[in-house]
Amino acid sequence: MSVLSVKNLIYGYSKGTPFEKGALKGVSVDFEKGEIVALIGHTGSGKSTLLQHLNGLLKPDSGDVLFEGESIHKSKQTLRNCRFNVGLCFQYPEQQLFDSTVYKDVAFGPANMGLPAEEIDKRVKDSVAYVGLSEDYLEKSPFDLSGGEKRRVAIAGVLSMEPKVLILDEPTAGLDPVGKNNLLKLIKDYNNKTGNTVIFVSHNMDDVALVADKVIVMNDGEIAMEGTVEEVYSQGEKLAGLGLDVPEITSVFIELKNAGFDLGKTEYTVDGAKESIIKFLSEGGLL
Amino acid sequence: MNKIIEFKNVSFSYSEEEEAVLQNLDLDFYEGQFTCVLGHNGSGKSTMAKLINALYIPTSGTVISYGLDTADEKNEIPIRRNIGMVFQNPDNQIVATIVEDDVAFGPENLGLPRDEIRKRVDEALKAVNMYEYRYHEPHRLSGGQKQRIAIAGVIAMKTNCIVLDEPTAMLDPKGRREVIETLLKLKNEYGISVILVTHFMDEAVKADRVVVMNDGKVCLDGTPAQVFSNASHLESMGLTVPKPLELAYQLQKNGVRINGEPLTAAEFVDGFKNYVENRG
Repeated sequence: MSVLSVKNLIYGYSKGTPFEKGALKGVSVDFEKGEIVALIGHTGSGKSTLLQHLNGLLKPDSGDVLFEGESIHKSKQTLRNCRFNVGLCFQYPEQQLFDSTVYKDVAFGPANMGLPAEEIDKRVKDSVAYVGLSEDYLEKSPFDLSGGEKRRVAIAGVLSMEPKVLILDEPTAGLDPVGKNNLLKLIKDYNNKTGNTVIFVSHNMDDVALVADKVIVMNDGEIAMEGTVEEVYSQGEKLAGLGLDVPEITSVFIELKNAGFDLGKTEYTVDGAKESIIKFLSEGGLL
Repeated sequence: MNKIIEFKNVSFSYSEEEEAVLQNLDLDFYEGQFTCVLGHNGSGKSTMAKLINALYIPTSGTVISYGLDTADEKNEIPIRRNIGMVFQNPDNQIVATIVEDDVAFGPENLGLPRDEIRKRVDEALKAVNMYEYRYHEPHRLSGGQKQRIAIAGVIAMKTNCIVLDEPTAMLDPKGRREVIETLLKLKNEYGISVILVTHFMDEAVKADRVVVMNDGKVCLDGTPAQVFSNASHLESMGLTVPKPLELAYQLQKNGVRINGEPLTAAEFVDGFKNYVENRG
């Protein structure tokens, strides 16, 4: 059974006004336990609208969202259960920090779950350590931290609820290459260690290639492509047609093909490209 | 080439207790150039950008912008008329509820006649390809469109130089392309000097000059090809080189020499063709 499944979801914004816009036009997708799924698509493709349905922030016009096989909109109880189990971390989560210390901010979620004080304490300390901050940070004000640190505190606030599905909307936006790599590593580690599902939105195809098991490409409120990184990235021309950036190495391969060099399948990593080019050259006696 | 901005032995710290963000920085910028400033978070690049137009004043040393010392308060307004700034968050820099009113904000404050304001706003909006959006509400625009409105607001002031602090960090790939194409156009067609602070290597590839900052100092400075040839040095500072170049390096280790330090896919393909022709 999929941990989270979306059945024929339809949703429109500003209904009954001249600005009415269909944001989701019948989306169905299953998220399996333990997967890392990347959601890509240009602005306005419906990614964020879909995410907000996954923990019931938005209620679909029609269709349903099932958490562990049960509709999240069945009762108040199922919705509450879903909110605790599907942790959603918005874009620029650091803008949502609100409490006077890091400790209190991170403790907010578990406290709302009604956990005993000891358990809350343990979870706060664990999740702050998990995102790579030392215990010295616990009593600091989150507003005195650097941008990258704030983001990690905000993510710790979601991790402390130990959600079975962790959702991150553009977690690496605005970070420098080092901060970005640390965060991607954190996503991968979290998934490895807990076996929990992670869903994240990204515009950076190279980041996606690094951590995702599965890629979903959205376009105009529908799922345009779905598959493993390799299945999706090997269709470089189709991605470009959807207004997406293809990984830089993929564009090298597309241009090589246009220049008359057919190297077979389209590579997307430097290592894969190197192997493929060496093979091409040695077969042609050009090494 | 004419020097427009000059950092002379500049140090800067945010407060007396804190460590200096910039240390004895010497750096010049030239007229008509597109300069990209790279560096990881905390390298001092944003601080440097804000020192250019007197948003910050050096703790020691001097910054001379268009011949004027930024530390002298009476120079503040003339400096800012010459140098406009665009920041990271598109939502934080728009003041009006209609696009053309927003672009007119600067010229109105200069006390210009109505006809002149009209002319400048139209020109500026055309320069950033947003003329047909002049009656739109800014909050309904995409991030890339909002940043282009912010840039138009600067151009309408007839500034000679535009400084941008990570203007594409919050944009999607399409928005990023729009902004970078706009900046290249401003440089090529209007002769405006551009100083772009960024994390993105593919933007730096398009610049005339790349400056890499680390720990408050300049550690690499040259054309994109010169700077990116220092791959291991860049990596040690937490920066990467463009992927086509990385691929060329990997191939070189296997005895395949692609000439000309390819920074883009097209350059790589040219180098590859050359290699095959020479072998074939």
